[in-house]
Parts: sequence; structure tokens; C-alpha cells
Amino acid sequence: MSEPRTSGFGRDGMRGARARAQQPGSARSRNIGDLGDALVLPTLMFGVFVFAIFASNDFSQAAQWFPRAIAVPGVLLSLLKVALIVRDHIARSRHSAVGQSEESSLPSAHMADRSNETFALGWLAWISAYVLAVGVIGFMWGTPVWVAIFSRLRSGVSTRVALVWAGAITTGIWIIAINTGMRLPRGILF
Amino acid sequence: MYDALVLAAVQLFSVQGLSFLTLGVTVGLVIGPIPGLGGVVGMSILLPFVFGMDYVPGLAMLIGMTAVTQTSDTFPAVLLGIPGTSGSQATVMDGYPMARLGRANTALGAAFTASAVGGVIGALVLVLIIPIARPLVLSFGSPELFMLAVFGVSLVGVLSKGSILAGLLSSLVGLLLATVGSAAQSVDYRFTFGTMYLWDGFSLVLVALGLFAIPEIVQLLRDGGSISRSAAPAGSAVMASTDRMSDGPRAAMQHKALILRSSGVGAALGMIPGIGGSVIDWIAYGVAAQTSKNGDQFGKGDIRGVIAPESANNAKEGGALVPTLLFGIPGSGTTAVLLGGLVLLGIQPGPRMATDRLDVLMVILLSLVIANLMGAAACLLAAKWFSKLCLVPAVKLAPFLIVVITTAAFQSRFSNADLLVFVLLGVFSWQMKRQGWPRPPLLVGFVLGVAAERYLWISMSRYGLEWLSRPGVIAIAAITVGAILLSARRSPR
Repeated sequence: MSEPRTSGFGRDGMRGARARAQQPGSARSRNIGDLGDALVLPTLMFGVFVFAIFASNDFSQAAQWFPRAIAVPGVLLSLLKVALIVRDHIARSRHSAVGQSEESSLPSAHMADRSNETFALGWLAWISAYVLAVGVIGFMWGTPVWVAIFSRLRSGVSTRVALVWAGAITTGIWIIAINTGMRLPRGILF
Repeated sequence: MYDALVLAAVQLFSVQGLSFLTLGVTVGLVIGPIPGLGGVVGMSILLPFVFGMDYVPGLAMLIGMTAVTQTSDTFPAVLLGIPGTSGSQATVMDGYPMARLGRANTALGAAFTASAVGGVIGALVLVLIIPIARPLVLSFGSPELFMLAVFGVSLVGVLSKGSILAGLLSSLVGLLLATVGSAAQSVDYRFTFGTMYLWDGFSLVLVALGLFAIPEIVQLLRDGGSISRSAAPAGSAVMASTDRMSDGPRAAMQHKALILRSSGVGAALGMIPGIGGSVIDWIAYGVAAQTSKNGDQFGKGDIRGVIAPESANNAKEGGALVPTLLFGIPGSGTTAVLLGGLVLLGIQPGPRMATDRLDVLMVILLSLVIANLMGAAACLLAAKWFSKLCLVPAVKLAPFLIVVITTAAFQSRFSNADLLVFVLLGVFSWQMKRQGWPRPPLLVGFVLGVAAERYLWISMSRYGLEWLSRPGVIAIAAITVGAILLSARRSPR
């Protein structure tokens, strides 16, 4: 379905101009963003497979054949994937983004809600912050501090409940660890 | 045989026998749901206690623990989308979607029923097959083991859900990840970047947690609400009105043939040392998806996707005991530690086990059967309470989950580098999830990578190309090709 052509004058023209202002530019930039997003994984994999081929040169013959047997088809398949994504992107650009096949290799359905993606990155940051805290100040300090902050700020509980929750989780895991031989992460500092 | 069975029953049904069996079952039930722990840890906890013990209570305790770890590990797999042990990885595929659809009780009920039946079938297979198992197990050489690995990789088509190219790339990444560390056939250290941490490669627990746990938690938090997002009014969470615990066993019994088939697959593959227990549930899942009607429903919350891996992973415990008892070769990590326990109890595994130590065999059979039934009953009773986790708002559940999975990830090598790898894998798999790339093929590739390389290398070194003409190889190759063709025929595209 192609865009309706408008002259740019009169009532229809205004409507068309508004439509152009709202749709094509943002759709184009969104499409480019989607293309970049969709290319991240195959490009990353292509890089990994190419690296594996070169790095395997340093191995003995007995050790290099298997990584190569994986990496060579990996390079070819990742290039094929990139080509398919770009082909689909071009096809999408020609037609309207509306009503595209669900089977397209550009996963538009997964990228529909950009604001949700921002939220997701925020949650990933929270998880990374915990791992960082544990890695730096250790489990016994990092866990109660992080759980208390998370519970207070994100779970929306009162400070007292957050502190109780932090103490309960830390103590619970500590008791399980003692009785099962688990080891708790030690930080660089403590 | 009958006399031995009666004698074993009399000894096991004593106060002492049942007490230690219950103790073992309890430890197994507690260990199973904790991600990062598993049968090996449970066995290590119990092993010091068996020294000097009579063999009946000692065996009952160890076998009881082994039998039920694979049952209770279903809780986190279904309720949280996090595999409790490596045996419940495939259960996540349909169990978690069922929980999200508000059918957690049904999924758990079916899983525990299938586990119990699978465990009993595994025990029966152990006793029935052990007298004739010797030639069967010995017929599996490196070429056949390599072909089994190829069969496992061929499941990528089923696990890719229509994205075959993405699935193939994922499995290749998994295979490449498996090559990290010391090479089996030479003194090379591959892709270690000069760090000792990577000498042993990546651990399966770490990869499984990174691939599944982080993306599911992020998705849960992003979506808001609770795990169960059944047709509930906005802002509230309820279980689906049709979700009853009794529906699970009923649903499982409606798929008797699937349970039998999957248990057979589990017990048969469990018997083969070297293929690795972690891949058996994937194979059972893949076979079920390929051979069932409407196989395209797998992965969308299909009860059959829960029943198949759950019956297989409990049945495999019986199968894995065949090489352990017959040759002293452990069929899984847990049975490797169990082997030490048997020696401590004064039991010498070997080919004469089937003739001279029938009493031991019968104690193991009864312990497996009773433990599986006890474990399933306990889990069914506890499921009602555990399933309420699905109603807890994600933001309140998340701190606990994140702490647990991070601690579990640390158990891989007890190194802070575990945590770094965990987060990197999590970010990578989140990207996979949002782009619609299938993640199970990566895990299957990773699990099978080491076996595929090792057995192909041995096959080529020992037989040249002649291994291709071995009957076992041809048979497995035919099954693999048949499975691929069946999968292609059933594919929607």
C-alpha cells in the first residue's frame, strides 16, 4: 500500500502534509532503527565466527578442526541472515509498514513498543548493579544494601519493610549456603 | 528374583529403611528447586553419612535423593522460567508459558504425575534390562555416541519455531561456546584469552541461567503485574478459573502413550554413558514435538511439552544406573558420586551384580519406585502453595529471584568472573529474546558440543571412515533423517 499523493494545498493538502509530517520521517527513522537492531545479533555472530577462524590458526591441528568446522558455516549463515534482514528491510521500505507478514525476518512485533525497551534496559541495569555490588563489596554487604534500595524504590514498600525484606533474603540464602556447602560471592573490597 | 524382592521389601519397609529413604527424599526435594544445585550436591551432602551404615538404609537414602531431585526441580522451571537443575531445561519451554497463562497448577500436577510414572518405568527398565544390558551398552562405541549427538543437534528444527536460520546460528554459537577451554584431544587451550578461568570452559549451569533466567526476569518486570497474567482485570492477578491441581494428573493420564514413549527415550538414553543427562529432556521434548499431532503448539503452553521432558528426566535415573551397576561407569554426574557411595556401603558394581547381588538390585528398584511416588505426592501437596508465587507482583518477587540466580551462577567456579559471564550472557540472551531468536538451540549446541567433538575425533582416529558403515550408526542416522523429514513435513512453512 503506497502513500496517497497530495498536492500540498487545500484541505486534502493539509491533511496530506500532516500525514507526511507524522508518518514518513518517523517511520523511516524507526525502520532504520529497527534495521540496526535486527542486525546486531547476526553481525555480532559474524564477528565471533570470523574471530574463531583466525584464532584457531594458533591451535594444533587436532584442536583447530572442530572450531573451524563450526565457524565457517557460521560465517556463511550469518551473512545470509544479514542479507535476508536487509532484503526484508528494503521490501518494507517499499511498502507501507502496515500489514506486513508476521513471518518477516525483521521482527517488528518484538520492537513495537520502544518505551518498553527502555524499561527493559532499566531492569537490566538493576540486575547488573546487583552483580556489581556483590562483586565489589561481597554478598553479605551487597545483598542487603541492594535489596533494601530496590524494594524501597522499585517495589514501593516502606523503608521498614524494605529493611526486613533485605535482612530476610540475606539470612535465608546464608542459612541455605551453610547447610548445602554453597559458597557466597566475596567482593573485591570485603 | 521373587525371593530377593520379598527380602528387599521386608528390609526396606522397616522403620530404619523408611526413615532414611524419607531423609534422602527430603534432601532431594529441597535441593532440586534451588538453581545451581543438583543431584551431585545432594549426593555430596549425604555421602559422609553412609560410611559404616548398613547397605539397605544407605542405599535407600542415596537412591531416594537421586530419584526426586528431578521431580522438585520443576517448581522454578514452571513457576519462574528458571531451570532448577539441568534436567528441567526443556520443561521451561511449555511449563512457564502455562504459568503465565494462569495454568500453573495444571502444569505442575501433570509434571509431577509424569515424573512419578517416568521414575517407576525407569526403575522397572533397570531391573528388567540389567541381565541383558551388557551387549546393548557395549554396542555403543564412539561412532554411535557421535551420531546421538548429531541426532540431538537435529532437534534445532523443532526448537527453532520456524526461525530455522536463527536456530542454526544459535546452535553454532552454542557449539562454539563448548569449544572454549582445554581441548580433549590435544594440549591446546582454546579461546581462553590467557585467563585461567576459561581453562575448563563455561559451566552448563551458568549458561542455562544466563540464557533463561535474566531474560525471563527482565520480561516479567517489563510487563508488570505478576507471573500469572491470565484473563485478569488490569492491575490484578488471578489464576485461571479452570486451573485446578487435579487437572494436571488427569491431563497426564490422557497422554499415557506420550509418557510411555518419553520414559522409554529417557531410560534408553540414560543407559548410554557419555551422552550426558542434560540433553535427554531436550531429546524427549523434540521427539514429542516431532511425533505428536499439532506439534506446532509446543512452546506455546502445551501440556505435552511439560509431560514429555518430565517423564524422560525421571526415567533416565533408572537407565543411568544400568552402566553404573553393571560396569562401574557412571551414566551421569549424580551416579558418579553414587558410585563412591556404593563402594562405601561395601557394594562392588560389576557384571555379576545381576546374578550375585539381586538383593541390592531389588533394594534399588523398590527405593526408586517408593521415592518417586513419595516425591511426586509431596510435590503435588506443596504445589498448591508454591503456585501462589505466580500471583506475587513481579517487582516484589524480583529481588529474591535476582539474589538467588546470582548466587546460583556463582556456584559454577566460585569466581567473580562467573558473575561477569552471567551478566554478559544475560544481556546477549535478552537481545535474542527481543529479536525473536530461539535460545534452546544454543543450549542444546553447548551441551552436545564437547561430546560431538570428542566422539567424532575418536571415531575418525580409530576407524577412519569405516565407522560410517557400522549398523548402529546407520540406524541412528536413519532415525535422524526421518525425524528431520517429519519435522519439515509438519513445519507450518
